[in-house]
Amino acid sequence: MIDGLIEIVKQVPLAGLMVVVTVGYLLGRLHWRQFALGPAAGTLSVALLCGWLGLSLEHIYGGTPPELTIGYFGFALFIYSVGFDAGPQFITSLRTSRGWKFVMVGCSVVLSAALLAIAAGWLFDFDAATTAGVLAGGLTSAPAYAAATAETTDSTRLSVAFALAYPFGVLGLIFMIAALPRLTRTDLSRGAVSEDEVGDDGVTRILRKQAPELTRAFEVLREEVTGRALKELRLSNRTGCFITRIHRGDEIMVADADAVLRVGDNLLVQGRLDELQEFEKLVGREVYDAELRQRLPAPRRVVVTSRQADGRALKDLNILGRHRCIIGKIERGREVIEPGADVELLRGDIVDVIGQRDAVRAVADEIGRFEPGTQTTDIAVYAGGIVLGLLIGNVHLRPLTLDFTLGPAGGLLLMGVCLSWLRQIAGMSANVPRAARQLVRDLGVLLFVGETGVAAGNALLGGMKFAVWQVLVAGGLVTVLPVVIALGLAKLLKLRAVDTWGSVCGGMTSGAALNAVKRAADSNDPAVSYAAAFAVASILVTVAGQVVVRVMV
Amino acid sequence: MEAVVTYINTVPLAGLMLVVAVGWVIGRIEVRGISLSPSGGVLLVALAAGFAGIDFNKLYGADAGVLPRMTIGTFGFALFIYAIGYEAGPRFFSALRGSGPRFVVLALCTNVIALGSVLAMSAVFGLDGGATAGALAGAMTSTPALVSASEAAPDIGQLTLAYAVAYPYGQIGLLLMVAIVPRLFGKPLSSAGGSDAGDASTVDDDGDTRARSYLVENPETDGKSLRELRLPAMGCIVARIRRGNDVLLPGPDVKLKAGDVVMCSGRLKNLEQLETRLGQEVYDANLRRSVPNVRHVLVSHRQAIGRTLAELNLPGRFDVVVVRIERGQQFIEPTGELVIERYDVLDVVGRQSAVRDAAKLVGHLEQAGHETNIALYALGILAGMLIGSISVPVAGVGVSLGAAGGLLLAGLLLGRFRRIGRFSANVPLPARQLVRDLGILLFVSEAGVQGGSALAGGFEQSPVGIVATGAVVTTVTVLGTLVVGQRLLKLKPLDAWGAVCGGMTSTTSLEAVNRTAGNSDAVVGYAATYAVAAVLITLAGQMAVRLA
Repeated sequence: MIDGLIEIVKQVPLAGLMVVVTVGYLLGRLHWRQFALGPAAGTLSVALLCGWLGLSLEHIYGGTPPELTIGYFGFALFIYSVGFDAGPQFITSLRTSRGWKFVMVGCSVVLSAALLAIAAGWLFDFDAATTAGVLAGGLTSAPAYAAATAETTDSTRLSVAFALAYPFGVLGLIFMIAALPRLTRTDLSRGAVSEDEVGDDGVTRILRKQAPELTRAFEVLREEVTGRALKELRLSNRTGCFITRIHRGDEIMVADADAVLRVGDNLLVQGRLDELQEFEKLVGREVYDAELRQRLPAPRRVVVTSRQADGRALKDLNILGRHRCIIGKIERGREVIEPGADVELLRGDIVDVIGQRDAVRAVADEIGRFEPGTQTTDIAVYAGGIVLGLLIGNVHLRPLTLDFTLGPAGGLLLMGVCLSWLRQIAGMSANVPRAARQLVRDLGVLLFVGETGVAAGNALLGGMKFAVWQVLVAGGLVTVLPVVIALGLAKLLKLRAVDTWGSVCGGMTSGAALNAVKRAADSNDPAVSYAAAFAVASILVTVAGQVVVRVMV
Repeated sequence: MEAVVTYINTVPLAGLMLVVAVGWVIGRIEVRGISLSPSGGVLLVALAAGFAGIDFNKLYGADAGVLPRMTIGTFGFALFIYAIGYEAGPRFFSALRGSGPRFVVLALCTNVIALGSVLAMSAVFGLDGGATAGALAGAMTSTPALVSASEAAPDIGQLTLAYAVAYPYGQIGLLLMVAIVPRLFGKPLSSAGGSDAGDASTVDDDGDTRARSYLVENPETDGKSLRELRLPAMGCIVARIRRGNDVLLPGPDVKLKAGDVVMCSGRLKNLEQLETRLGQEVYDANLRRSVPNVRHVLVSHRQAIGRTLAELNLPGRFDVVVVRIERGQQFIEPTGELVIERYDVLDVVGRQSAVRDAAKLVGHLEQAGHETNIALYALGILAGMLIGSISVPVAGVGVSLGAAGGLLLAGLLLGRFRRIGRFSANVPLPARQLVRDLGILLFVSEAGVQGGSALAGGFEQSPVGIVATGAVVTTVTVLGTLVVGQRLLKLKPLDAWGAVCGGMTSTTSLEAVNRTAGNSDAVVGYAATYAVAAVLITLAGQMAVRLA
């Protein structure tokens, strides 16, 4: 039965790879206590197994595997996306008042891990590929693994070392996740509030003047307001709010000065909270009206590009007070940050702005520009970036007597960072929507890992000696020590617990760990420090994968 | 120039991506409203690049003209056709019920016209079997035809060459016809209709769930714990509490004090009760930033199915509120007596951990909006490849749907049902578009470069004859099918155009039609004819080799 199935999969091109990706992705998402292996590691394990069971690249390609494989294509897309995602933050996160601290903590994780891996490699007499595998596995970093694969000729040892060390990285994370709530509870559960709204006695005061405009729907119930034109009723003068639309029957009308209200009309009204409460008393009661709700101002996405806004806290910008617009949420790289008063905007952030059209436009002019709303990817820029990255990576620089290239991984990273930076900051009209990036990145890494894994598993079939215990020990070291070092450094820098853990997770480039921290805090606060540390660490770890291979050779 | 070409040839993938990038730009240049379309642009650039010496053969480790069965181009092709199917899925099945037989007739008609005209023209120019079949496949820009003909033809190099020579007119001619013919029929394609059967787009609306803040003023509330207040039973969730400088997380034991500001989440009519219960509504910018999101929970656990909301008592057990229920495409009011069914989606508000726990009881949290479940995505491709490889002997010729047909079918099914068991198979629109566009461009780029290098190599058969043959076949087939479809079978214009592309099993043409029309409605006609045409064209390709 199983033999028959394997036979079928072997006969159909591509089928083997898809089996590996499907099963591997599912395996990677199995979770225990909210912790999962991750799709990349899951796919690698399945691929190694399938390769060991006899699936080979010949089967996947229905002939001799070409030099330019689908896996290599996936590799290029993946590394490029890593650079693209880190893009704007890579440069700007260093500039905020605390940002450089987050980055330092994050980098300390990567750097100490790289040094430890090299030391362990020297101690246990590993070859270059194994050392890189230990580093990538210990940090559970697929980009480091991918970058190292492009450098080494012996990707079998690399894959096996990666697969062996990975579980230790996972164990380290599980430990962190289990220990985190206890370590951080008191500090995380309280957020800070900007002080200007609280009096000396600690009692909350609400500043009505600062309140933004809200839009609510009301049903007309009182006869007093019907039968006369709006200009005679002078509701705006009496309450301070404006009726913008009238919903009568199936019809939605613009409310002009001559409009006459009837009992049963639904009104869309704009004003401050106290004004609206006043309006409700005069006219009727608040209702939910799905059709009117669609006329509500939708949040517009604004990219922060202005130097004036860069690094300034939201309370200083005072968008609420000056423009009467609300900041809905802030997207920074892969993370979404809640707009607290102390959050500092960075160039490249994407901010949801809600308010009246003109006001939103004024905000956009002040802090940056509207993000293009299209969902289509600009393929010329996307593909062009990959070409340039590959070409740059292939350029031989010969300073002194050295022969140095960036390698495909280095070139693609560089182009990814540059392009996304240009796109966000310099306003180049190149759109790559988030969902598109995500699919390409995830699919890319799985195709790549699946293919290298199958090849490695196949090589294992031939019999290979491998220093299993040494790799496991080294992997454990690479996982645990860097976190300890980073925590120490964070203590020196006097970071808050939220930021410490956010930066450490960023340094480990582990979204799973960040989620654990967020859960412990029941807040999105750690995302700020994570985003800063992640941007730099994700680039650094990829480069580290390359560098370790070169150093050990 | 030569140095540049040699250099690019040494960097894997660079040539392919270069052609895609440059071709995309050229394909989007518009002259009087007519553009080449990205795939047309990429094809031109690819032919030029291949002619100039860009060469993938070394990278593919293959002899001239013959690629391994799976390359990046064919992989891109697979992704493209799969994405097309996924998009058409929801509309396809309802359209098929209405006008299915007409599409079958049309597919037959397309292939008969094409085969007839290619045989006639090859007799005029004296082409051999390989060149005839290549011209047929190229004129119809049909990969299945090429694949099936290559199994019967004696000289694959010449077959590919003929394909490459006939291909440009097949593509460009079709583009011109797409731009011009609908105007002859009266109106441009972008305003023409296709089958209209329901839109599958899901609306991202959280019902009337909202968050509001209240100042605790009611003396009865002062000093009470959240447990005692039993707000979830009233349909409201406490999201955050602000006391002076501190923002507190709500827990059952937290006691409210006068002067606290409490932000609650829930539906409007439930929130309104809070003004009497707690105090006046206030605006608090600092609390606003932690508005809890509505999460979607898919019901899949057997314990939960068939029980009423009151029995499940999610508010009492987990501090969460069910604000709305989605069943099929409908939204249902959550009342206590409502019986929960399998695959209902509950919109739930509450603290992250509480929602997670509640989700565990009844089923699973749905994925966030921009995530793709890659397991299902890959599983669909796997299923498509396997279905396509099943071969049935018809009149001595092994007929199969081919990888393209299989993937199209898998995509249609996945797109129609959008879930397998309890897993959502949703692929967000931007992700789909990138994969689809990049996929077809990679394929065209690869095929074009192969053709271009073959061009540089020279011909055995008269190239003029092949071009002329191809041109006649393309024009006659497209026009003939359109006339039959629109005049005799009374199909709507976009359906007819889709059927033309489907009948020729030409994915690149479909892309061109979609782009001209500004939507993908033509996919319905395309998908409806494709299955039949895939079988017919396999036969036609082989017959062209043997009869010529």
